[in-house]
Amino acid sequence: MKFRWLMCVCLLSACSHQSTLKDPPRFKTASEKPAAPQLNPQQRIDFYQQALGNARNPQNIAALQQRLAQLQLQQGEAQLDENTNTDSLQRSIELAQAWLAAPVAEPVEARTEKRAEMLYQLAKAQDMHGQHQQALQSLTQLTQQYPDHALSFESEFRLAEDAYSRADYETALTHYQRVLSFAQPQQSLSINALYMSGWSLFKLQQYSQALKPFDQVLTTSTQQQQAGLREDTLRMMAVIASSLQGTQTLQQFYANANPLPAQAMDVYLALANYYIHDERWLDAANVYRDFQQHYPQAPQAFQFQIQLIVFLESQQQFADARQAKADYVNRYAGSQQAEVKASLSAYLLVLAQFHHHQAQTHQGDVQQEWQQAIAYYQQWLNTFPEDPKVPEQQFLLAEAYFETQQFPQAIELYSKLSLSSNKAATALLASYSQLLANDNFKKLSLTEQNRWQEQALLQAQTFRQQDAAAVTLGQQALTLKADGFYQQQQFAQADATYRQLLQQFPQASDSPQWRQQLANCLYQQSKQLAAQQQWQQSSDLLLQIPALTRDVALAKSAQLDAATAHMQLMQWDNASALLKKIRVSYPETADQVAVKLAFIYTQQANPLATADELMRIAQTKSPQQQASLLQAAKIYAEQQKTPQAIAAYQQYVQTYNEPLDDTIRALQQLIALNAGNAAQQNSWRREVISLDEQAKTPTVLSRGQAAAAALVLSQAQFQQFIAAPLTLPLEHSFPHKQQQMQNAIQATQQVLAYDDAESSAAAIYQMAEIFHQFSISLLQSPRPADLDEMALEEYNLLLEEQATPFEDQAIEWHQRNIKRLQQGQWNDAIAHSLKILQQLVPAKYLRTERGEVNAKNN
Amino acid sequence: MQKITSLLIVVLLFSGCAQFTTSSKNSAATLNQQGIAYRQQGKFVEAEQAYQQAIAADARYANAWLNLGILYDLYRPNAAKAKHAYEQFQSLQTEPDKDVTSWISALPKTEAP
Repeated sequence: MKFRWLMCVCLLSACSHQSTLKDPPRFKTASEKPAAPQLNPQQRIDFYQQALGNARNPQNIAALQQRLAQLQLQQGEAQLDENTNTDSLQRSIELAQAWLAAPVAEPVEARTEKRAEMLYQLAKAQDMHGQHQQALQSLTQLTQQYPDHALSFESEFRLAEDAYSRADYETALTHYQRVLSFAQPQQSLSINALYMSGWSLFKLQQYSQALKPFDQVLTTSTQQQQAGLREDTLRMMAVIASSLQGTQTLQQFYANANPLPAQAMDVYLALANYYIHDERWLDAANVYRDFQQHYPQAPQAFQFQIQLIVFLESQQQFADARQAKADYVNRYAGSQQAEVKASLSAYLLVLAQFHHHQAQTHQGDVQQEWQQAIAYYQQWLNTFPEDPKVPEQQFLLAEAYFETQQFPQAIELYSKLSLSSNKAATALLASYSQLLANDNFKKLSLTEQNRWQEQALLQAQTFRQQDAAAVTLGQQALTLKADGFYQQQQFAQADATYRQLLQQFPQASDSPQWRQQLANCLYQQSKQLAAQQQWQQSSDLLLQIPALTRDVALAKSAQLDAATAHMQLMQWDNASALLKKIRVSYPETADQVAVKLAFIYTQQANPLATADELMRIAQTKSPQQQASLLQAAKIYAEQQKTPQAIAAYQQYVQTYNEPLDDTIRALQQLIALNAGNAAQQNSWRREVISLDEQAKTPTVLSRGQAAAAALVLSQAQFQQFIAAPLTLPLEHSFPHKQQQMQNAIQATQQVLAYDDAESSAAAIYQMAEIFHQFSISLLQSPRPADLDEMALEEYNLLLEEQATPFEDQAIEWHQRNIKRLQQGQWNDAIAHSLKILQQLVPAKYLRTERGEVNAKNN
Repeated sequence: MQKITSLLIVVLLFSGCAQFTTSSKNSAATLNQQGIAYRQQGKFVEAEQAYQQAIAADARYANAWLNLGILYDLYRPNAAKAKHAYEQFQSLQTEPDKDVTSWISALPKTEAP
C-alpha cells in the first residue's frame, strides 16, 4: 500500500465527514530549482552520478549528493507512479543519509537550510519507499533541529496527522498546536490545524475546549472558499453544544465576546438545525427564542424569529407561527434594518389579513378580530407609507373601519381612494350612508351632524353620474338634512329641503313621507304666521297641505285653520265655501264647522243661515248644542219662521229641563207661537205647570209662568161657566151652572195658590166675577111664564135674596184687589175690580175727577 | 222753602211763561189735566206730582185738590191726606160739596195729620 500524505486527513475526516483537505501540502521538489532542460531524468541522474564520481572537493561532493538525492527522489516518485521498481527511492535515501552524515564546512545558516530541506527530502523518500517510521523520525528530527524552519510547520502538521490517524489525539493535539503557533502559518494548514485540534479535543472528550478552535475556524475561514469546512465546523459545534447544555453552553462560550461575533448566529442556527434533524422540535424552537433573548441587540436576532416562524410553519403549528409573527411585529416594529422591515411588512399584512378573514367569517370574537386587523393595517400603513400596496391596504383598513362602524375613519380612507377606484367610491358612499343611518349619528352635536350631511351631499353629487348608490346617499343625506331642520324647528329651511328632495327624487319610495313632512312644515309655519297675525300667508300655506299629506287629521286641521284665517281676514265667502267643503270631506267636523259657519253668517247678517247652522250644532254632541238650539229657535222666531221656531223650541223643551227658566221661556215662546191654536197653547201651558211642579227648586219665573198658565186655563173654565145658561126650568139648568161655577172656582183657586202678584190680581178679579156673574145670572134668569104679578114680585124678591150673598162675595173678592193698591200695585185686574166696585158700591168707590175736561172713571 | 223753589222751577218749565201771575191758573189746570191722564194710565206717583204741581201753581185751583183727594182716597190710599185734600177743596167752595162731604165721612177714621 502506497502512503499518501493526505490519507491521514482523509481518514480523520472519514470518521464524521468527507474529506475537507482537498489540497494537502505536497513536499517541495528540486524542480523548483533550475535544471538542464534537454536531458531526461535518467540522463540527468547519470550525469550527476558521473560528476559525483569525479568530484573531490567536499563541498562539490555535498552539493552533487544533494542534487543527486533530489533527482533520485524525483525518479523514485516517477517510478512509484509507474509501479516500477523503487531503486531510485532507495538511492535517494542513501544519498540523503550520506549527505546528512558528511561533515561539511559551510556557514551555519546555509547548512541549516540545506539540512532541513535534506531531512524533509529524506523523510519523503523514506515515506514513499515504505519506511514509514523512518520517515516520521526524519520529520521529528527536522522539527527538533530546526523548529522555526518553514518545513517544520508542515512537518508538524504531518506528525499531527499521523498521530491523529493512530488515534493518539493528545500527540496530534500537541502537533496541531505547534502548527498553530507558527508566526506566519500557512493559511490553509492553519485552518486545518484549528479544525483538527477541535476534533482532537473532541476525541479527547474535552468538549467545551473543543468549541474554541472550531469557533476560530469560523472566524478565520471564508464562506466562499471554505464552505464545506465551515459547514462541518458548525455541525461539530452544534453536536458539542447539544451534548452539553444546548444554548446555555453557547451563551457561556460567547459570554465574553463583545460584540457578538458574526458566526455565533450560524452556530445557533446549526444547533437548531441539529435539533430539527434529531426531531427535537421544542429544543429547536427554543434555540431561536433563546438567541433573541440572549442577544436582543444582535443585528441578526430578527432572523431567529423568522427562522422560528419558518420552523413553526413547517411543523404546521400555524397558531404558534402566527403568535411568533405577532411577536416579531412587536419586537422589531421600530427597526430601520431593511431586512427586518421586509419581514415586518410581510408579517403585518399576513396578520392583518388573517384577523380580517377571521372577522369576516365570524370566527372568534368578531369585534376583537376587527380591532386587531385594524391595528395591524394601521401599523403597516404608518411604517410603509411609500409602499405601492398602500391603496390596497387602505381599502382593507377602510373595510374594517366600516365593519366596526367607525364610519368617519372609513370615509376618510375611502375618500382618498375613491378618485382612482370605483369600488372605493361605492364603499365611500355606503360608508356615508351607514354613518348617517347609524344610531350614534344622532348623538353627535348638531354642527357635526350638519357637517357630515353636507359632506355626504357633496360626495353624492360628485358621484351621481356614476353610481346608483350616490343617488341613494344623496337622498339619504338630504332627507337627514331636512329632518334635522324640522327637528330644530327651522321649518322654512326644512320646507325648502323637502321640496328639493321631491324635485330631485320624484320617484323615490320615500316621497310620501317627504310630502308628509313638507305638509308638517307648512302647518308649523302657518302656526307661526298665525301667531304674528299674518293670516293671508298662513292660509296660503295651509291650503297646500291637503294635496301633500295622507294624514287625514292634518289635512283636516289645515283646512279648518285656513278657514279660521279667512275668518280673521273677514273673507266670509272664502271661509264659508271652505268650511262647507270640509264638512263634506270630514263629517266628524260637523260641529266645529257649524260653529264657524254660524259665526260667519252672523257676521254676514244672514240670520236664517245662522239658525240653520245652530240647528246643526244642536244635532251634534257639542257642549254648545243646547245653547245653539235655543238661539236657533229665537232667530227663527225673530225671523217669523214660525214652523222652524216651533220645531226648535219644541225640540228644546223636549230635550232640556235645565236651566229651568230657559225651558220655561221656551214654553212661553211655544205658547206665543201657537197663537190661534188654543188647544196646543193650553197643552204647553200644562207643560209649564207640570215643569214648575216637578222642579226641585222652582224659580220666580217658573212660578209666575205656571200661575199665568193656570190663570189662562182657569179663564177657559170661567168662560164655560159664563156660557152655561140658566134656563127654565131652573132645576135643570141650575146644577150645570153651579157645576161650571165650581169648576171655575177650583181652577181659579189653583191660580191663587201660586200667590203670584200678577196672576193673583187677575184670579181675584175672576173669582169676584164668578160670584158677581152668578148673582147677575140669577137675577137675570128667565121668570116662569105662569107667575102672576104678586107671584112674580115674590119670585124676584126670592131671587134677589139668593143673589145678594153672591154679590157680597163678589164685592169682597174685588176689594181684595183694591187692597193691593196699598202696596202700590196697579194692574188691569185691579182696575177692573175697581170699576166693578164703582158700580156695586158707588158711595165708596165712585169718585170722578174734575178738570177743565171732566175725567172718566176708567 | 226748597220744596217751593223746586215746584216753582217745575211750573216754570211747564208753563214756559215769564208772566207767572197771569198764567198760573192755566198752568194749574193743565197740570191737573196731566194728573188725571197719569191716574188713568195707572201712573199714580206721576199723577200725585202733577196734582201737587197744579196746587203749587195755583193753590186755589180746587179741582187739583179734589183730584188729589180722590188719588189718596182710592189709588194711593192715605185717609188723612185724602181728608186734607178734600177739605181744601171744600174750603175753596162757596158751599161744601155734598158728595165730597159724604166721601170725607166715608173715609176710614184716622188721627188728624
